[in-house]
Amino acid sequence: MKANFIAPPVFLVVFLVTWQLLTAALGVPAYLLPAPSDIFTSFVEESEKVLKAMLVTGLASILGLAISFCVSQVIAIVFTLSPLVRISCYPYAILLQTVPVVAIAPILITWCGYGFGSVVIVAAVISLFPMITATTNGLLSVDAELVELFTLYRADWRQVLFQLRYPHAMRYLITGLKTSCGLAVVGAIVGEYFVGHHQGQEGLGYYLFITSQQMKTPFLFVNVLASTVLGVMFFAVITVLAQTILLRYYDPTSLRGPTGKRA
Amino acid sequence: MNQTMLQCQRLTHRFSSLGALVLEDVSLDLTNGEFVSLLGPSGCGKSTILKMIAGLIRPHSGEIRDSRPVGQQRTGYVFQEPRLIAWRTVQENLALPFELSRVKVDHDEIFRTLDLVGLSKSDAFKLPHMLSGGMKMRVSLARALLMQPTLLLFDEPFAALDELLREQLNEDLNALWREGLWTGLFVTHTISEAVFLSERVLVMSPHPGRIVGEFAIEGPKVRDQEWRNSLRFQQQVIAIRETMRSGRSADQEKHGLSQTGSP
Repeated sequence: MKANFIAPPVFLVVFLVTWQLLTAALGVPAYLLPAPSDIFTSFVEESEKVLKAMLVTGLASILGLAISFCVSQVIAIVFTLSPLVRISCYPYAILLQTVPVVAIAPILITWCGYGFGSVVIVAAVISLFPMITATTNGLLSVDAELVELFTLYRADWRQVLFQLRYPHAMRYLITGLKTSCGLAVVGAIVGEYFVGHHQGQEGLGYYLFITSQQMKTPFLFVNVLASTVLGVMFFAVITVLAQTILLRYYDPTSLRGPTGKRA
Repeated sequence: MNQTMLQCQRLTHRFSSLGALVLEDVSLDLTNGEFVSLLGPSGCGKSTILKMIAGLIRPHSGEIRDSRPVGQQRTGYVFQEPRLIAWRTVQENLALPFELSRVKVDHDEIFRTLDLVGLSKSDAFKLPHMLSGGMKMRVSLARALLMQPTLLLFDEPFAALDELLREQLNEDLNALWREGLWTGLFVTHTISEAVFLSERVLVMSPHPGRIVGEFAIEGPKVRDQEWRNSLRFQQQVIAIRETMRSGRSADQEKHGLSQTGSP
């Protein structure tokens, strides 16, 4: 299907205009459903607050994702190298994926205190498991005969891991990363929702909580939009990054090898 | 020159320590410089023998004696599929044996070997997915030929290719063997392929895998289309087929009727 660059924006305009007209015609109060113009006004008034909150939440998401990325790689490598550990622990890694964020956030905050650190930890824990399972799957799905080929030439485990398993697992890893980057943003927001206010560190989650309490619905909508934009931005950055890496490994028109040197 | 390079003595192997017998009392000797085929139906343990000789599987009992002098014990292995690394160019794929053995990559040897297997210099910079099936197999052959192996193991390498291409590659392989200094052990389930290539054919039967016959092939040094069309070639194919058929009917009497129950 060809992408259409006209129909979706036209639909959006029609949608917003209808929304605006309907709220005015029916006299819906702004605390229930603000009109698009109310939301826009609120954004203009509080733009500094929102942008700063996006920055705070964005930073927590990035740090959380960075931590979970590193931890997931260590765990995936251990799973790959030790069948015993893998057989014993892998089922739990899959099981733990299904634990809802909201359920474990309060526990993590109880342990780590009410602060920015806890928000990062929640983001990290939530985004950890998809990357563990995706990377482990990728590292293990290498063709058995290629591993035998490496063994035949007396390759050590490091060569098998970094010259065979990792390049092969790149696609899997990127799929995991794409899932996890969205979850990291969700984790950061949920973390902030529970941690609450922390001295000049108000993130989107904090505002989502406080504005709903105070019935500042237009600003609540602004925050929802800001959260969405943040999530999309995160996903876009990871996707572009992923494409660059994949191109390097798989693009036939690219003359560069995986080692970066020209063949 | 005519001395034994490798002895397999009474190799026996099971799927697991109590599982079904894969190989029973398989003994075979390889003489320096000869070309031998292991011929048998699928599932008779032909590949298992190759993997044992390559040191990838340990037999449950029996012994493999390698009498090649130290420093000349390099073994090349050609898998059923080309098994090239997708993200490496042809040249980089061929550099792999050097890299894994921690030897300086000999690019001159790579290009010489490419030429030997009938590929051009321009193919060296292509990625595997840009090559045809036959070309991929030639790269796979080149990879096994690198670093002066004294023994080459072939695990049904041309089974997936169309017949004419397979005949061509058989002729080319024969030329490589005549010009090279290596001993070949070729696994196949195609009688004509075994007769075409070999000086000696060992016939195997399944359940459990064992050697049931040995044929010295009388033929010219140069194996080409003329050889394939000769009466001598046809007669030897027929002789081996008869042996395999009689072995098979005996096998069916023993297993088929009582176990599967189907006619």
